This record gives sequence, structure tokens and C-alpha cells, in this order.
Amino acid sequence: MRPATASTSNALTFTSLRLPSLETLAAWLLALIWIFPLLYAFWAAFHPPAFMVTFDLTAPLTLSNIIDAWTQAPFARYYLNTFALVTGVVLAQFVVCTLAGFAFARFPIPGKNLLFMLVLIQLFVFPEVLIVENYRIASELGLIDTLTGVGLPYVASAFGIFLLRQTFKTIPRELEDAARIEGCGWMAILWKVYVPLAKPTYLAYGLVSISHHWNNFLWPLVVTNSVESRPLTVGLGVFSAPETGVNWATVSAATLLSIAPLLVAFLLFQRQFVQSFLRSGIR
Amino acid sequence: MHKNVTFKNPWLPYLLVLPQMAVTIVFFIWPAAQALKQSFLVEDAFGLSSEFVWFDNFVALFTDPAYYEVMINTALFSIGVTVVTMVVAMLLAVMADGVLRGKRTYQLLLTWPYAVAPAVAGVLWLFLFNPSNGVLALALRTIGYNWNHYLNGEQAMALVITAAAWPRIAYNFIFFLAALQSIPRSLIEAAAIDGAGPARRFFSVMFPLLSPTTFFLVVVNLVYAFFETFGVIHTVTQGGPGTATEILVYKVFKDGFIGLDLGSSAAQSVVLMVIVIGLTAIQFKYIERKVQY
Amino acid sequence: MLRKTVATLVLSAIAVQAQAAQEIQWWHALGGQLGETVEKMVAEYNNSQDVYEVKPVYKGNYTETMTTAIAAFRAEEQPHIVQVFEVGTATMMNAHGAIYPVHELMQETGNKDFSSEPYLDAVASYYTTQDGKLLSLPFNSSTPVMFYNKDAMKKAGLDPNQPPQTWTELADMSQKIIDADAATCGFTTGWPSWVQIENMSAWHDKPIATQANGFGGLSTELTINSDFQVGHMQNLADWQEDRIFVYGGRRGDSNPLFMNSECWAVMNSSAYYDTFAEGTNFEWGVTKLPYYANEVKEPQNSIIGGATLWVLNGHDEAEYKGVADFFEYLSSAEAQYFWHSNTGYVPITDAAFELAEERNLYASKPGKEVAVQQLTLNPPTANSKGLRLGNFVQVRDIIEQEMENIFVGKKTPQKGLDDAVTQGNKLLRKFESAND
Repeated sequence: MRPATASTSNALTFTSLRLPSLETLAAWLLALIWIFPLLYAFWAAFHPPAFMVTFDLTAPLTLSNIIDAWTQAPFARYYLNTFALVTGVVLAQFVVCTLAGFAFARFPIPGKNLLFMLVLIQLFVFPEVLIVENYRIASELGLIDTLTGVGLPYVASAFGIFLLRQTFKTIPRELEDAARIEGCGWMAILWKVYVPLAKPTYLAYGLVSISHHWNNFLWPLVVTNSVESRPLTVGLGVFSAPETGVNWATVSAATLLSIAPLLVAFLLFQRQFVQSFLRSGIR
Repeated sequence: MHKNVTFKNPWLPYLLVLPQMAVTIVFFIWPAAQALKQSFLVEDAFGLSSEFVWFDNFVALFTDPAYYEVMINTALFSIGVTVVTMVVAMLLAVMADGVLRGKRTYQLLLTWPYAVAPAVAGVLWLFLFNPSNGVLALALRTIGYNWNHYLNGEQAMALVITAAAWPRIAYNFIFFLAALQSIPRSLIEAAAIDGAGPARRFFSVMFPLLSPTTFFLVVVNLVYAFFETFGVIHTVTQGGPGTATEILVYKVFKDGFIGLDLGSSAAQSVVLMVIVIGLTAIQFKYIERKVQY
Repeated sequence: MLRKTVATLVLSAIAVQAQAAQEIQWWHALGGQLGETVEKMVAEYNNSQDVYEVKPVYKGNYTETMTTAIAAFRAEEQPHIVQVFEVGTATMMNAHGAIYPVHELMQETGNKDFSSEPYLDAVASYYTTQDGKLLSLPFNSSTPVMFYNKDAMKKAGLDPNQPPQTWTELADMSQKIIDADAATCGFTTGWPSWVQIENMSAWHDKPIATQANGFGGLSTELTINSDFQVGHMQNLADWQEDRIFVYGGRRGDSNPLFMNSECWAVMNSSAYYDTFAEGTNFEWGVTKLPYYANEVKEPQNSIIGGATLWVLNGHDEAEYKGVADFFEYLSSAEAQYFWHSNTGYVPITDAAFELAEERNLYASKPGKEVAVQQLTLNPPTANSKGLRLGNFVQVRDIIEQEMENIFVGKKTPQKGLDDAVTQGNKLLRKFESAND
């Protein structure tokens, strides 16, 4: 674990451990290598398929992969579904997790720790293991092939409850008492005191949750049957048909189309994201 | 000190956790109980005939040398992901700490991969390292190194570790950077005045101050490597070549979902759940302490 | 629940008014262009009549489709028709209460003449009972063939119209081509177990398991560690040293080696025909798999891969009538011809093959007939009918793992195949105990 400053020692100024320009360059180079996989995906998506196999930097640019991908699947519908799904899941998670997190943070419930452990174990259980059973349950609830069916199992997010509980615990009781003196009920206290103070947590958790549900694949595939309820990721599945081989150019294009909204979201919210991320010790 | 009882209605807390509990019971506890039951059965895929076999599934598991191989793979993989993630993240954080111009852009670049799901990350790395048309595989070949992760287990392992670590490094990077920036400058300056070189300054002054962050990250990275990297393995190697990159979670999926051997798969998830409970207990304890502090 | 009931009520109200078509769900695993071809065929059927409406649903790859259908069956949400790959056959046929055998379905819905007669022997035999009755409807079948680079042959001074027929010729030509710098490696293979073990055994009329490759009963055991298979693995391993053979991964992972002219030949599913047609910029041909002249005078026949359509129990009679009607359409020579000409799959009835010849399909797509020729080379024997082994998805996985261990030099061919047999038999016993 050598720091990059090892080669020169005159770098130190009185204000910081600053790197000289040569090493700034190195830092930038490293960062570029770092995001190379993303760059390459862009490259592959905008060049003809033939240049996937015979690598050539002088290859002409083309939009045809993107167009191919776009026309081969009802992307507009898939975007809409994914958008509706992700919004619905995140909002429902906020409500459910806020209530539960509040209860776990501020109420004495007999057996609370046991209940809380039960919630936490979910963090680590691999959802695919339970797919057969979950499918049966979704079917009994009449949720097969609905967006509700895709989202509902994720609403009681252990992670969300854990985070909000931690955040709520750090909020001083005095604020709550003040609100109570003004005659607020629990709902008003939660809404006026706790929720506003936990804003960074909501933002950070929201972003993580969005990226997770945006990319979820196996459960949505299993539980949906029609274009009307299928999210983007499942719609994309049709591009890779191992029996006939994979057209990588189209796959790159389709992959980019699917992650682009998230990449843009990260661009826009990067600062808030990093800050709230740190504040809430998110995993 | 405040007492916890602050609201009159004794049912209120239960009402508050009710929606969450309802979903948890329906979509987690009930299916998990079914999995537990399944681990004692031998059943055909359609559930048309089943037989109670006591611990046969577990016995078969623990007498199968392949299961131990998978455990060793899991250990190698998890440690690999954790070490690679943390070393690279720390290196990047030290550099970012030094970059003054364009700091925001720099940080953005480094946190961007976090937006990429593990499965997609797997696909991107596979593009680069496909033995016959991946850019990096070809580059390696031109310098005389034969890359073929379809055949070479060590290379396959290196590839899945890289692909799994990649989106994860972004996350670690943020923590290290924050920790670095909170180190008082005067400490580093004092060390410099004493004549310590950058390496010495790092190891004797900065690194000890990073250790709480480091410990926290070790735990969460291990958990990530253990349970959340299924998508990477599935898209990159499917556990191959041989069983070189098959890890515990992937084996559960492979035996249960692909092989339709529900009994063995359920027994494996029970084993996993036991491991999980252990890890959860440790993590829970640690995080509790940290937050209360 | 309530919503569902309301929906049913509303639907039945509409049905009274508009005579809505009976919906038939068909879950399949065909993505990309294959999926589009399926959609076209179904659309044609739906337009041809208004009693039934077939709804094709892409359910992921073969394993995902099969597992989802099973989960759906356990939840009583099963589709009418599900496409299952050939290695899932034993699992499906042993699920007695879950499946509705196609021959019974046809009989009971009024098609008394239905039999396996019109289908190619090598196709039908894989899916029939001991007394020759079809359990599922053959749909997409392929077989491994050898694709080879004609330009590379020319460059090495070889006649591109005289591709190798035996393994010895293949190895010699590969050496010449490598020496002439026309390619950097000889040949590669896809689907290692299917092509190099299962098909090579059938091709040389050698068993891969006891009990007639499992057709005779659940007590079957693997025999792939016998001299023939061990010898073949030894040869492949030896050829690796001079890059006459290069291992390129499972499924279609090795295709790029052929497509970017590194290897001059690849043995892989005939279903890749169109992938190669689109993805290469050199002249290539298709030929039969090579054989060992010292083992047999002439090869037997190759076996199929691909999938069939299984009908699941639990729907009402009117719907099954629709399934039967749709199946007749799918088996028609026209429909099969359309499928064969637009994909790399073989025409599965004799009538469709004749139609393809009649319409000169093979003049515009040379080499597409090789797969059929290979399948029909000889009437199938007990060793070349196919195989019916339980848990075969995992067994195949084990075989491929051990093949990889051999190619990487970790195990000798004998040891690798012995281990494959030991582990594979365990899974076969497990299947036996779960299904007896």
C-alpha cells in the first residue's frame, strides 16, 4: 500500500500533502484507466459490429447500434415501466421504513432487538433462493404480471429501516419535546421533526435504492409476462440469446441505453450523493 | 435521561411496524421457513412427490469434496475483492486528496462506477477481457501474455475479482477520502519537519488514523463479496472454468435454479443463513458501538 | 384476489359481446432474432383464425424458462405450452402429473392420425416413449456441424471444396494452415460436452450411458470413461500443444475465435449459421463432423440439441383444443420451412426438408443442408437416438468442468472422465430416488 507520493519528497507545502503536477497527471491517468470499462462501452456502442471483432481505432462512427437496440424493443414502454416501478418502490420504501425505523428508534417494544435482528438478516439473504416460494405467494395475491408484484417484495427494506433507525436515533430528544409542548401528535412530530432532519439519509438511500431497482433482473423476469409490466432490464434480456450468439455491439448499445439515466443522475446529484453517503454511513 | 415511553397509545409502535412486518412475513419469513423445510426433503422439481430424508441433504453436502472447494473459492474471492478494493480505493483517495484543480470532476470520475450494477459491471469487464476480441486481452497478447480465462482458473478468478471490486472501489474511495481530509494537517506537517518521507508519513501518521474506517470497510466489503456478487459471477464465468470461480452463493443458485435440486440448494441456503447470522451479529455489534459513540 | 375476480367478470362480460379469442400462453426461451421469427409465425397463426389467440412470452434463457414454468406450475399459474431444452427431457417426462403428453393431447382433441411418423427419426426418437409415442412436440432442433474457413484453406494451398472428413485429415490440414500462416490456430469447439462427448459418441455408435443411454430406465450409469472417449480427449489435449486444437469456452463462447479468423474451423451448433453469415467477412463452408477412420468405417448419425414444446396440465378442454390446433399449424411443412429458412435450425419433418429442396433453399444458403444430412445419415441405433438422463443440466456441467480440467492439464483424460462419471452417477442416483 504505497502512496503515490513516494517518489518525490519536496511535494509538501505548509497547507497540505500536495502532489506535484507530474503526479497530478498520474492521478488523472489512473482515473481514466479507472473508468475505461465505461469508455469502452461507449466506443463499442458507436461503432459497427465488425469493429468489435477486429479492433481498429480508425473505425467509422455510427448510430446504427443504438437505433437497432431502440427499434428491437419497445424501449419507451420499458422506460416508463421502470420509471413507474422505481418511483413506486422508493416512495413505498420511504413510508414503510420511516414508520418502522421510527418505532425501532424511539419506542420500547418487548423483544425489539429480536425483531430488529430478524429485519437485519434479510440484508444478507439472497433473494433468488426464495424465488419459487415468492412466486407462489405473488400468485396467490394475484400479483403475477403486475408492477406491484415486481416491487412489493422489496418494500420492507431492511437496509432502509436500519439506516433510518440510525439517523432517527441521533436526533436530540429536545427537539421532539419542543414539538410536543406545541401540542403535536406522533404523526406531526415524525413529519415536522424527524423527517426533515433525516433528509440526507433519504437522499442517499433513495439513490442507492433507485440504482438497485433500476438494475434488478431475475425476479422481474420471473414474475412478469408482458411488455406492459416488464422493466428495462428484462426487456434487454432479449438481446443476448446464447443459442444464436450475442451481437455485442447491440448489447453495448442496449446496455448504455439502460444505464444512461443512472449515469446522468449521478452527474447531477454527485455532490449531494457523496455527502449524504458519508453522513449516513451507507452500505 | 429520557425514558423511552413518550406516547400514550401502547399499540402505536406495533401499528408503526405493522406494514413492514406484514411484507417481511409474507415475502421473507414464510419463504425462508419453506426453504428450511425443503432442506429436509428430497423432491422432484414439480413437487409431485417428496420424501422426508432427515439430514441426508446436509450429509451429502459436507461429504462432498466439491463443497469444500467452493468454500475455499469463496474465501479467496472475498479476501481478493476486499484487498483489491481497499488498496486501490486508498491509493485513489490519497491521490484525490492531493489533486487540487478539478477536484470535483476528479471525484465524479471516481464515484461514477457506483452507478453501475454488479451484473452490468460484469458485462463491461467481459467485453474487455474476452480472449478472442477483448481489447485488453488482445493488448496482453501483444506483450506476450496469453489471456484465456475460459481455460485458466487463476485468470478467471482475477477477472471476477476485478469486476466485482470495480463498482465497489468507488464506495470505499469516498470513505477513505473523507477520513483523509479529516486528518489534521498539522500532524502531517510535523512529521514532514521531522524529515519523514511521504511513505513514512503515510504509514506512521495517516494510516493509523484511518484504521476505524478501514475496519468498518473490511466488514462491509466482505459481506458484499459474499452475498452481492452473484451478478458478476453469473455474467462473467458462471463459476467456470471447472469450478474455479464457483462461490457459495452461486452454488445455491446453480443447484437450485439451474439444476432444480431443491433439497440440496435449500440445505446450502440454510448453511449460508447460519453464516449470515454470525456475520450479522458481529457487524451489528460493531456498528451499534460506532453510532452510539 | 378481488381485483382478479372483477377483472374476470369484466372479461367474461366482454367475451359474451365480442366472442373474445381463447388465449393460449406459450413461454419460450428464444431471444433476439429468433424471438422475432417466433412472433411472426404466431402472428400468422393468430390472423388465420379468430377462435384462439396464442401469446408467446419470452421467459429468459432455457434454464430460466424451465424453472419459471415449474415455479408457475407449483403456483397453479402455468402456461399452456412451455419450451424446454433437450436436456430437460428426462425431468419433464418423469413429471407425470404435470405434463400432458402430446400424443394423448392430439388423440383426445380429435386428431386421431397424429403420430411421430412425419418427423425425422433422429428428431422424434429423442422425445418418444419406448413404443414410439411423442411426449412433446419437436420444434427447434439443431445438431453440431463443422464450419470452416475457405479462404484460409486457399491460402495454405488446400482445395476449399475438399474439407477434412476424418480427425487425422483435420489435424494434418490444421498443421498445414498454421504453417502457412493462414490462421494462428486449427480448430475449436463450442458446447464441449454436447459436441465432443455426446455427439462424438453417437457419431461413432458408442454409448454414453447404460440402459440404452437412459432410454431403458432410471438406473442408468455413465460410460463416458471408456477407451473411445478417453482416447478422443487425449488427442484433443495433445493437439492443444501445437495449437491444432484451442479450447475457447462453453456454449458459443468460442465463436469469435472462428469469426475473427484465428481458428480456421469450429465445431458448433448448426443454429449459428446465421450468426456466422452476418459476423464474418471471409468465405466459409459447412461440413460434417470428422470421424476416426480406425474406429468406424463410416459415421453413424449425430444427435440433436434444441428444444421441444411441452403441454402442461391444469387447463380446460377448450384451451387444449386450441393448443392442438396451434401444434398442427407449427408442424405444417410451410411453417417448418419458414422456421428452417429463417434460422439455423433443421427442418424437423421430412415434408419440410423436401419443400426446402424443392424451393432451392440450399442454393442460396449453401451448407444449411449438412445438419439434416448428418442427422439422417443412418437410422438411429440405441447409441445414437439421443440420451435421456436425469439432472442432465448438472451432469453436463460436471462433464464440461472435467473436460476443462483435462485441457488445462490438471488431470489426465482417464482421471478427468473417471471423476466425471463418479460425480455424474451420483446425480443420476439422486434423480432416480426422487422420481421412483
